[in-house]
Amino acid sequence: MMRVPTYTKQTARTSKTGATAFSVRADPNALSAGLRGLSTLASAAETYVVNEVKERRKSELTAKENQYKIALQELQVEMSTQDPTLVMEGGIRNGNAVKSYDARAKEIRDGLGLDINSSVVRKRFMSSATQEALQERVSVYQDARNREIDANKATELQAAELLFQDAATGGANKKTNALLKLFGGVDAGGNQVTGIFDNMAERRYLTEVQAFQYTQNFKQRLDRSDVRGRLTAADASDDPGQADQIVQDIGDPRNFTNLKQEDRDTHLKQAVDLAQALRRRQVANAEKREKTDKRDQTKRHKTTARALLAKIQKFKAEPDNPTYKAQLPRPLEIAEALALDQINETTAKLLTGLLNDEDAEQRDPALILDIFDKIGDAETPDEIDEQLDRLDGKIGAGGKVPLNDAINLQKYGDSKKANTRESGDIKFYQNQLNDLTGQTAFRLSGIGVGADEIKRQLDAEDTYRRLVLNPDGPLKPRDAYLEVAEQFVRARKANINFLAPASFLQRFFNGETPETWTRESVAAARQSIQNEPDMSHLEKALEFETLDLIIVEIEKIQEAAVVGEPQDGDTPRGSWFGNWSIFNRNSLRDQQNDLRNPD
Amino acid sequence: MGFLFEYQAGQQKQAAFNYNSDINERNALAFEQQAEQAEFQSELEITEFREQYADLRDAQAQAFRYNGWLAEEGTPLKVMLASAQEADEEVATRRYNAAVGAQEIRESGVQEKMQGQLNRMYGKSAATEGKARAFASLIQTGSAINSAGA
Repeated sequence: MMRVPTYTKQTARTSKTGATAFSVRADPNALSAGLRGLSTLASAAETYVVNEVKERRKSELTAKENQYKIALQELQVEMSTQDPTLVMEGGIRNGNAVKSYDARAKEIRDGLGLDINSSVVRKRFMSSATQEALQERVSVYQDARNREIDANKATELQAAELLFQDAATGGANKKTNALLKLFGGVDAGGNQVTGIFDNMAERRYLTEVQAFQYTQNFKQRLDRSDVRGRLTAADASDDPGQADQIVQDIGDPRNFTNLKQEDRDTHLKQAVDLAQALRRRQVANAEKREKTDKRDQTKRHKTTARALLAKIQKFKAEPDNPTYKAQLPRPLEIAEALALDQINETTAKLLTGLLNDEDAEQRDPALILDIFDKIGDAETPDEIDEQLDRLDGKIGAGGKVPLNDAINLQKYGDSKKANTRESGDIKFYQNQLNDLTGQTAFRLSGIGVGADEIKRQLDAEDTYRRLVLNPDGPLKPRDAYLEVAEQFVRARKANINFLAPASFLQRFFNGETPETWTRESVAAARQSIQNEPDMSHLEKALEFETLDLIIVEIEKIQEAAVVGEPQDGDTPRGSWFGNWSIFNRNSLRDQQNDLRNPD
Repeated sequence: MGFLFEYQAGQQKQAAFNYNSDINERNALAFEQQAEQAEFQSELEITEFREQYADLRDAQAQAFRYNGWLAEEGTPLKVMLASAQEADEEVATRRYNAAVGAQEIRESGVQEKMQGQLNRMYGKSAATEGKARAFASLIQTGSAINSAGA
């Protein structure tokens, strides 16, 4: 029999469940790291917000505190000019209520506090502002009190100054009262009076030391004032004896007992110096008086002499004028003037001589013109006087300046001193004339003209001067300039060394050249001048002088006449009146020279 | 500038945690594959067992027939049924054991996944911490500047 196999299960069922214990563990720290970080962030944010709020509050508080400080400073400045009582207590001024410093400070504080929204900041501000105001209050009140004391002290010191003035300059009674009030003592009623400085010390306006110093100072000032007063009086008196007495008094220590030694020394020196100065002043005054007297005398002499000379000159110009004749000085009048020191002896002799028709026999045109020129150039009255003084000794008999010229120059000098327009015009046209005649160029260079030209120039200038200074009726400088210029040009054309005759005399010479002038035509011209009603004495005199010179010229020509040359009375070759021109170089004289001096 | 370092530190921590998490997930996947492999191996063994048992059953039927017994009735049938019962139980036991083993392996995978998840959470937390610290640093700096400015 075959064995039958069977099967029995081999595998046992496992006891495992398939589940395992997890070893995974969550790490709380790692898991919560994010939240911790957020926590840190939140913390930082909170800190930030807190700080921000703190800063904002602090900033706002600081800003307000600063505003308050500035306002307080302004208030302090304002209070420094206020009445101290009003500063401390307030009150009424000019009808208006004025608040005290405390009230004003509180007002400002409250006003600023209202602007703060945060109650925390407002509380802090109010607290600090109150503290600040209190601190400032101390200095404001101190200042007010000081000013109050200072004002009272100033009032007292001012009173002391007034008392000092009374003591220094007042009468005896006033002085006694002032000294009593200043330094104290017993009054007339036997009452003890406290001095003003001691009184101030009692009221604590001054310390005791200061009161003593003020007292000493005022006493010293009084002594100094006394000495100065005496020095001033001595100075005003001009008496060296008074100064000597002061020297003695100051030197004695029993006098001016409050003077400090250095002040005493100073005043002693001042007194000595004053005494010396007064002595010097005495001498100087005497010299000054002497000089002044001399100057006054000279001035008096000049004025009187000129007045008398002018009267004589007027009479000589118009001898028939009864007024001038009546004003003519008499010899007795001259003698009286001399006796009264109105004129000097030289002038008296001159005047007497002039009354006896003694005038300068010669006339020095160069001297007269020089004086005339220099008066024109003078810039100060002294310079003018210096030129007029050159006339001294030149007038009258033996002189070279006729009375007329002297008077004219003196009048020109006066006019120049007064800086009149006339004197300016005279100088201006004189310069114009000099430029025209070539005198300016000659004066500058000294070359280019001959002797006849110089004489012609001098004659032109002299004529101009006499015309503009004519005391009887001076020509206007411009008219004189035009007239003299025309005559000068004609004279140069005619080659004569004096000015040509006036235009209206042309008809007597019928356009003749100097070489053909005749004595008859000159006589006719002379007659015509005498009959001319519109010409002044001076103009006539000048024309007569010209005619005289023409006669001299005729004589010269006749003496030099050579047979065959043109003779007196010959038909003239041309009219020198009609053809004159300073540019005409082909003149008759040139032609004559050619004939006389054939090469 | 401190806030930048704080932020960067957080980012790097998160990267480290994420890296660990990736490893865990990789391990979990490996465990899953390992469990499936165990189950598959068990089924292969069961198939082989069934073939061996078929051989045994054939040998059993042949023995019964050799002995002259009808294998399809009576005691031979009962014997054969009892062997078959045993074989079925064998298969069931094997499958049960394989399932338990696979379950064990899967549990390890689950644990790795859980560890991975934790690491991801750690990473997020670290990143958050880094950012928060960075902001905190920034605020502190700002606050300090503000205070200094004030």
